[in-house]
Amino acid sequence: MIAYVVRRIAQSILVLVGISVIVFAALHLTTDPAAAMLRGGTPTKADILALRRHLGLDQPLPVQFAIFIADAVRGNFGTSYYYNNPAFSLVMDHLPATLELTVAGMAVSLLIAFPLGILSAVRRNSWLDFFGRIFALLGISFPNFWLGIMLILIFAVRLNWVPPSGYGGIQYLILPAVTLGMILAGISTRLIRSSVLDVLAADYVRTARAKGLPSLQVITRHVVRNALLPVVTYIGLQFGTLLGGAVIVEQVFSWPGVGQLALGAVNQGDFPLVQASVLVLATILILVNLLVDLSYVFIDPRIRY
Amino acid sequence: MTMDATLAHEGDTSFEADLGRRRLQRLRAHLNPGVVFAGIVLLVVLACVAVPAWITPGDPNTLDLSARLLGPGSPGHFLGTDPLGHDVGRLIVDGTRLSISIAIAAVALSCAIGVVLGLVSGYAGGWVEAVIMRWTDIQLSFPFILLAILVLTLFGGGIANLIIVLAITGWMDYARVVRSQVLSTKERDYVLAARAMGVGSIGMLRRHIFPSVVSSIIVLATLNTSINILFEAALTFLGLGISPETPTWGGMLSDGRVYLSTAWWIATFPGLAIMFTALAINIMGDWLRDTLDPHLSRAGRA
Amino acid sequence: MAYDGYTALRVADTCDGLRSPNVNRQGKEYKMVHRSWRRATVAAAIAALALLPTLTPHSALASRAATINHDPNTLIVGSQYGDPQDFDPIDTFTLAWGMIGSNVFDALVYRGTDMKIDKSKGLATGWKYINDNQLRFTLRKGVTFQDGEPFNAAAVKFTFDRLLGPRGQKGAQYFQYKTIKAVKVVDPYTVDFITSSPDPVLITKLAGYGAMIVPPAYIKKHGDTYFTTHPIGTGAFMVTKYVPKSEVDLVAYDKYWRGAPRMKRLVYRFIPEDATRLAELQTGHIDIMQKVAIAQVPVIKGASDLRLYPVGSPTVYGLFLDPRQKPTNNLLIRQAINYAIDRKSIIKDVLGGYGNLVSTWQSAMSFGNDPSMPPFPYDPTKAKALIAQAHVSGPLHLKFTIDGTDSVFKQVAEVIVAELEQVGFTVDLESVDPTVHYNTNIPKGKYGNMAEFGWGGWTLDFDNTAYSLYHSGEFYNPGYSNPKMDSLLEAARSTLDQGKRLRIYKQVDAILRHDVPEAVLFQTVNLWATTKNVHNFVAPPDDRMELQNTYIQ
Repeated sequence: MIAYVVRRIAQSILVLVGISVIVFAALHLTTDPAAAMLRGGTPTKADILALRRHLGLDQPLPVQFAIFIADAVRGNFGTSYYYNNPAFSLVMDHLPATLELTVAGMAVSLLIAFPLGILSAVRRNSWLDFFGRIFALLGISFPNFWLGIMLILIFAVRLNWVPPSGYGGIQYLILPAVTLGMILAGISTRLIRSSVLDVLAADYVRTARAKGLPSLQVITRHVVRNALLPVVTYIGLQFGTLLGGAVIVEQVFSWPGVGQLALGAVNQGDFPLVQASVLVLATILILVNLLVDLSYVFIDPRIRY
Repeated sequence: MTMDATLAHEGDTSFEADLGRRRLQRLRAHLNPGVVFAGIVLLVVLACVAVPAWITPGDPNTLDLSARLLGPGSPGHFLGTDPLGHDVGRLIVDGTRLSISIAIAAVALSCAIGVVLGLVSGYAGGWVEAVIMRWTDIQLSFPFILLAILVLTLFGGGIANLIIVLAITGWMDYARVVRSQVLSTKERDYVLAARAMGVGSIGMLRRHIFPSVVSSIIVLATLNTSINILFEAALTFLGLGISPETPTWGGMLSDGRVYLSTAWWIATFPGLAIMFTALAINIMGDWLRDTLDPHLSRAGRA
Repeated sequence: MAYDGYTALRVADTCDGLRSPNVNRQGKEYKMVHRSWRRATVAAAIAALALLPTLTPHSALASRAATINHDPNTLIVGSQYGDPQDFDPIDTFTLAWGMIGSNVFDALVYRGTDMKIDKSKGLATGWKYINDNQLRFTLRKGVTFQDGEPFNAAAVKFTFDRLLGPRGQKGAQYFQYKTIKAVKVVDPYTVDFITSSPDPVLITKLAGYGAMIVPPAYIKKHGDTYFTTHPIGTGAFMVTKYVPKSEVDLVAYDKYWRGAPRMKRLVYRFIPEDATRLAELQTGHIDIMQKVAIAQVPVIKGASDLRLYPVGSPTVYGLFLDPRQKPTNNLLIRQAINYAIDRKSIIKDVLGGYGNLVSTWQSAMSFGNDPSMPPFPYDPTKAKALIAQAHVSGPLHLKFTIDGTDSVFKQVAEVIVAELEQVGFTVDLESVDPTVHYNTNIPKGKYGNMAEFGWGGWTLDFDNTAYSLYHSGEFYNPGYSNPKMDSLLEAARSTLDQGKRLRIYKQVDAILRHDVPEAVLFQTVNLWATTKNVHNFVAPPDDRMELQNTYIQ
């Protein structure tokens, strides 16, 4: 097991290097940040070249990449061209907001999906199942920005229960978390339901029932654990979707997260900030995936590493 | 799993005939209003894709600045008009082909890639699995939006690139879920038994592992299709959409959101189109899964 | 055993398997069908409920803006532009900076909301040219920075040495001020600007971001990096808190030399989504809303407690026409394109009337604008005649590239496409990412035949725009080259005689009208909105807000 973890970490480092190469290439081959920075004035080509020199962009690409990697391993992702502050600390400053939103969204989605999914499967074809399925289907049929705006119109403008957007206290977190979580609640409900149904059909469940175990015990002791595997997989995937998809929710709700930071950085051609955002987010996702994979061992003892 | 019912004749009381009749009864039992509704919606959608000119005849170019922002029910414009006078109903029908084809093409592509990679990595194990899973990690660790921005900026916009982006971001779902199913199924008794009997790898994949994975794939594919339609809307929201000359449903939704309080029909009707289509696809997916897998219909109240 | 919708079903051996099961249970069967339909109705009802909010008119919700839904000592602005990112005035060109920075800093020269220079409001009380290359400023006495330092000639010298030195060269503003060779202190309240060649735009430029006066002692003590997030200037408000992507908090500077501001606190909130920003205004959470979308105008106008403030901006939109690509390489074709476009209709129908006709790539506020020159006329018949005259071999096909994120211009582009197709062109409309569009495609000439271009000449002097767009080899001009134009433009920026410069620009206009390397479309009108509690608000044409007199009540 330890060997597995070590191997995974080594592989993860390779993954991160791979990502940084791709991002580096994509940025340097498509955008000229100097031109973007000077837009608004009357830049001559000479002015732009001069700025490129100051930013270190005139050196050959492999040299630039080497410098970037050498700095990055020491935690230095360079200075943001626009904020003129270290890119890494900018990202870390915004990370709590994104994590707050992601975790809250996941909590909302699981709080809805787990009970609904399990009950839906267990009480198959009842009212509850029907509502659960309609809810799940509706949840994945709405674009999240539309849902977000709808929620603002209803709960903030019409009912005045919460402020429309912003960051600071829990009243600002409710609508964005629900928006983020609602879509995933839909997906999760369906997956939990189908996974539980699969398990319910299994022989050992019939055996348990035949033995006379009450339904609740059947569910908790046998069904849930076995149904968990694809669900845990999906939770791991969800985190990635949440993290990336939060960009849109952040925009609708003026939420100062890394997604907004990164989006702005890509649009402006702020290379250090783009690289810092992508790599920080990637590291988090890799860690989550690693945890998900490790948790397989506890859920399904037949799986060995 | 064939529908033997067609072969059953009245009066034929053999075991196979009975089985066939039961299967047909099950099939008809499943034809509840939900599935019928879904079927109708999908047929309409299909018609819009195949023969849009039948549904909305006339000149496709309806820019008419004298008919801007008319509400639904206005003469000649059943669903209203947009800020340039285009008929909303016609826009929705014309956009169907683009929205649906993009979604389906992306799903097909990502399903193909993902299933193959998932099966191979789950079954083969070893360094093959490690490489594939690490590549999955690279992709999963890449926030989708940023990946889309980088790809669409590097290779330019356009329908093909949009499909590739959607496919690239979607295949990991299939791969991971398929792999996890394979990992569990690999250890199940009947598989171990088959291996003991000497069944070869391909046969193993095809006959034992693949079927247990099909229902998950179907669920994922139906989810994926509707999600792709929404992702396309999201990309349009962020300004990475495709050519504005042929609007997609997602594009209409995104462009129309600023009009939600004044000319709500511009965004709402495409939104309903997305919603009903997604609903129909998912109901169909459920139905397919239920009828294809006899194991599931035996599960009932606990 | 349970099947979908039917309970306790047994496949009866006696009955015909193809008919509905269990004929004896008619009642149950009926109930089952009934139950399914009931479910379907409920589902429809839920869907209808979900859509309900969209159906109610928004004006019914506007009444809440009558109350101030936040601390009444704070004035809150909702900005769409976002972060200033770096408060150091020498690093940026963004409008986001100008919105906030103009409240924190002052410059020697002040340009008011009427875009005219007002000597009573700048840090310099007067100036005169000693010779063509030496400009002497008399400075205002009794001004202090927000940290207590005095404003004087030394501060001015420090500011410009910094701007023109190694620190400034890493920033974006530097190249605008390159004509300044040195700044000399004559006495504590007199400075001389020495230029390397006569710069007729210098005085206007000294109202710009890069020329904002910064505190020498403060920067020497805290360093440049600290200054980017904790700025100090001579302005009306002082920054107390900056949360990127979220908000900037400012507090009034009571010793402000023009008088203490009326509001104690000022907050800018960054709200990128249009619908959300309007919601914030309607619920009274913000007092001033920047950037009202044209679609939202009816809501503002229909609300008794909201006010709309339209203001013409320096930004003009137009189309670049590439003189190197077929068929726009043909002069007659370019002229035909110009005649085919109905600019008035675009302004009226697409922009809702919020746009102004222009005849050259500048607004009426710009120096160099000739009010006697008419806008390009709309004449589709003439366009067709020109096309026929042009005898173009091959298809009349145009590739038109626009910025994909600009939803308003997308509509403008569609109308233009329709108008061009009416006179016989076929047009291929493509949208790209704005960064690629403005920084790669246009400078490299990879946009096809036509490209959207928006330009705000911030100096309000045609020199800035004309030189960049029409002089050979300039960054935004990959394809147009006319030696006569080049010499005119160079002459215009090297003389201080404003009368002469106007005459030169008239000649420039004539050449442009003949060569048509472009199709100028309209001047944008920016839309601001406030709640009715906001008083003394003047919408700034260049987004540089001045809020020391504005208050809420």
